Amino acid sequence: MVKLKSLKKLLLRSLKFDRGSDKVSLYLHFPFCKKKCSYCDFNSVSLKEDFEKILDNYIKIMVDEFFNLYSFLSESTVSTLYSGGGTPSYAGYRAVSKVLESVKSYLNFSELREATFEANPDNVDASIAEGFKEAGFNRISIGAQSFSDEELKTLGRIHNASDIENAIANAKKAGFDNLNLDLIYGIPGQTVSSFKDSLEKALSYKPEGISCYSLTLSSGNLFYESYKRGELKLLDEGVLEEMYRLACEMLKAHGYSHYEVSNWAKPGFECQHNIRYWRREPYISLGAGASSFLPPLRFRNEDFPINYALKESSVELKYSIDLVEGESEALEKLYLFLRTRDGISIEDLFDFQEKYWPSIFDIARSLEIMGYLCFEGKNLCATEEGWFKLDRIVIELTSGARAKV
Amino acid sequence: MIQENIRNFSIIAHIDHGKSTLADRLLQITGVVSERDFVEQFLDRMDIERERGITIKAQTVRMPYISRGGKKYILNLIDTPGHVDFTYEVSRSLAACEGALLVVDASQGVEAQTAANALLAMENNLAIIPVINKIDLPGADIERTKEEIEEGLGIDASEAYLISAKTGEGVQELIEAIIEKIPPPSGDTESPLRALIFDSWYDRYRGVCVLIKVVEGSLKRGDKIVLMAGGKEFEVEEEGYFQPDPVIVDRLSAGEVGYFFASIKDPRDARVGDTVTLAKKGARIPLPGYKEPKPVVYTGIFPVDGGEYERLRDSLEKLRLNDPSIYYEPETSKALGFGFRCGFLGLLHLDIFKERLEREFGLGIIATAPSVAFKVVKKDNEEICIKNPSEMPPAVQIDHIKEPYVNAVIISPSEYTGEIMELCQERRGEMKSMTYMSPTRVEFIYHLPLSEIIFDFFEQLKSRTRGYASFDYEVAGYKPSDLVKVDVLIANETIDALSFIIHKDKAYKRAREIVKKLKEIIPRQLFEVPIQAAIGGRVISRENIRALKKDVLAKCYGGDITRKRKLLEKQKEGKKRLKALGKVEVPQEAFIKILKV
Repeated sequence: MVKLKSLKKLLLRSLKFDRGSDKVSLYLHFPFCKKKCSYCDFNSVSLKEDFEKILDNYIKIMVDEFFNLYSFLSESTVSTLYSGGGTPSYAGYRAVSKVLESVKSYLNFSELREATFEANPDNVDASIAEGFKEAGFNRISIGAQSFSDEELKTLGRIHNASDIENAIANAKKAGFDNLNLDLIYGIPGQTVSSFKDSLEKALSYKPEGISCYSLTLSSGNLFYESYKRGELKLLDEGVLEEMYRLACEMLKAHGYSHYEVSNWAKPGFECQHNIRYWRREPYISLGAGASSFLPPLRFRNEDFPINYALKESSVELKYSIDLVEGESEALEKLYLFLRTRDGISIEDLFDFQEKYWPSIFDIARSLEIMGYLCFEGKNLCATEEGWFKLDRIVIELTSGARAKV
Repeated sequence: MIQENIRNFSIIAHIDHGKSTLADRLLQITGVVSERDFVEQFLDRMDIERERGITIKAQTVRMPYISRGGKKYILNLIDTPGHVDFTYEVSRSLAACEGALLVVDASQGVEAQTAANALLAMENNLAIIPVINKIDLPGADIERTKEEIEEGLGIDASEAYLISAKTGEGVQELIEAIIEKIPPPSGDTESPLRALIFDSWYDRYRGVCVLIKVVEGSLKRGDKIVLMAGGKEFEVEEEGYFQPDPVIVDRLSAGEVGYFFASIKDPRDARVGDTVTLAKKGARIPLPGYKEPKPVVYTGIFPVDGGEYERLRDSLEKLRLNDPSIYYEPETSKALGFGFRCGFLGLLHLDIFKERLEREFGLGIIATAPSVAFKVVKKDNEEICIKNPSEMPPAVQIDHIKEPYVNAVIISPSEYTGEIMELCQERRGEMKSMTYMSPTRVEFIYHLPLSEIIFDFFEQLKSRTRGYASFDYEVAGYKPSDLVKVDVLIANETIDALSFIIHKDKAYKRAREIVKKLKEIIPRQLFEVPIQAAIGGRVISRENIRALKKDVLAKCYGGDITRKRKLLEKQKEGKKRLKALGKVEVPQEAFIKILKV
């Protein structure tokens, strides 16, 4: 862990960023929710009392963090903007635009292609939608999760299916023409047919993008705790596989392209911001516990939202840093690039073969025969089957062990 | 020292009946080891021996003693291993003695090893002095023990010596009895030298140390000698005896027991059982030697880290210097890489050997499940020895297969008769005799296939008789048997290290067990993995390991890439420790578990 000033020195010394030609993405983190969901393991909190006051100070530290840490990036071109959480819609467009206003004149937003905010279906009313629109956002990602009220209840969500419908209507009314819906499969009690219903319902709104995430237990979320106590029954893996295949089929049939493991979009509406994460483009973040990447350094401040908000100044923030070089960099490229439709270039693979993993091509070929990977033009890509088991495939590729058919 | 005043003797006893304690007491009473230097169980020098309370290598010690009659004697205690896996060493030791103390625990009575070793002593024509030990214990039943010595061993117990090696009670009288009842050696000191090599070991600095009993003639420092089996000549540089530290002397004469060094670099030149004579005016006829013991239990031993193959080979060589009964030859396994096929005299022998490799040489090893050496008689009448299931010829060439049998002695309280008979029957045993040693204790002699006792037999016997039964066995030749080779296939590939040979009636059950176990411990792979057990081409058991399902579709939180990468790096680390079983990879620990099934 290093303090902000040390981090800044490290960044200045190692940075490979060229302000003239390189672009950067900006992420604004609002880790506040009305209620924390049962499956959530993100750095977020639910607040009731003092929310306004805490939010005010939180925003103050975000801006302070920007000026203290990123002054060397001034006038850099921002290519995408994303505000996530938590629930930025809950923090409100005023809070988000306040941060934006403060940093706007120090960065170049003239080439901004995409600005997304995440919203909970229960609080996208007309004024919020219009507010974000006015603040410059052009894409909204709604955490629908499911169209079954029962499943939503299981997930601990505070919205119901009709809230989603209203939220979509309000967003469209406010002029959002790039809308993404998040769905979750693998919810306890969910069936293939109920998931199919949710998919159909989602498709009926003709969103530009749909994300389908598999429910994941991780230490720290409520589900995990009750799973450990034996109170929660997870879905059979075979069922999960069926759901994944169903999503692949249905979305393809409706003209969506599968551009990342869990993401589908109408051509031209792929989320540019997320793609930059997966293609290892630089991005900076403001807010508690948010991650940034300015090659070769990945770093994040290690604070809980309340602690962050209670700081006098951002110089008190502490960051964990991760210098990504050598084999780590290669591994990161491999698993991130393979997440995307474009995959990884054969040129990169040759480089890896020479430096780290002498049998990567042999293994890739056998995995191709098994139907998990395919060589397409100058790239190696994962198939939809391969995406389903990508972790293991990456380990196979990089461990030098055999994976014959 | 004239022969009349020398006594060479051994102590034979079941494990834990107090052999080492008695030896310690003798050393103490004769003043060879002072109270101050006393480390309990002085003769058991190897760590493993001390920990397991057993003796593996023969040791000798010379004790001076002045009898009640005022005469000076030399008592040579030649220690013997207590376990029958080491029958070979026992018989070697006994051949150097004229008498033996047969020690029986007064509370335990005659046990299986007592019986086996007493028979060996009788075969060697030794004077046997029955000794009932631990008479100070509350559970001591002297009368019953005497009855068992009489009935079970056929030895006159009326004059058994009653002692407590722990307190020293009766030990002085016992020493007097050694002088009185064990005959002195009788070889002619004037004849040409004939000395029996009954042990030898390799000393890093001095070459081979040869332990001998001079049977006839005498051996002086500087003598030019010939080891009769190989005919090689050496010059004696140092000779002496152990007390228990070496004491150098100029001459060892007929009847005496001692050691010599003669710059022998290759231990194979000083073979146990060989006869030493002088280069000039030597004897022409060697002493009767020993039959070399044949290994009966085989196992594959592989280094955990393939890079340690050379070191493993060196360690095996070093261990064999001190234990020529160990057999090994290079072996390659598709699953385990380069290693060795090793043969042992029995299971304990194997166990101790593995432990020594790990402890004394710091080697990480994987040992495959032990198997016995089968004999295959082919249709063309050729007989081949199968030390490893992979050596089995194709079924069409086989006329019949023979497997080694043992004569097993089981001694137990009579209330467990039913359990013992049931167990032996399950293990294809044939009862040879059942004798009541006393109204409450019974001795069984069973003819059992060795392969049936190398898996879990002793453990079962112990648990079914609540630990009261004792067990010992001696290999007793080969008999034709209805045996089959079972192959284990993982993802349609035969895993050589898992093949086994088994009686036809048991093949199905064991195949099922192994296949089930494999299913439990092989992690799921990217593809479905069938596990099969097959005899020839016929599958007799099958399970499927379902293919690995999803593992990646969680949302990547706010661009937190680091967490994900660290996770992958950790998994990658884990994968390095995997062993490939054909196409499938399993954790090393899991693999070892399979081998132990």
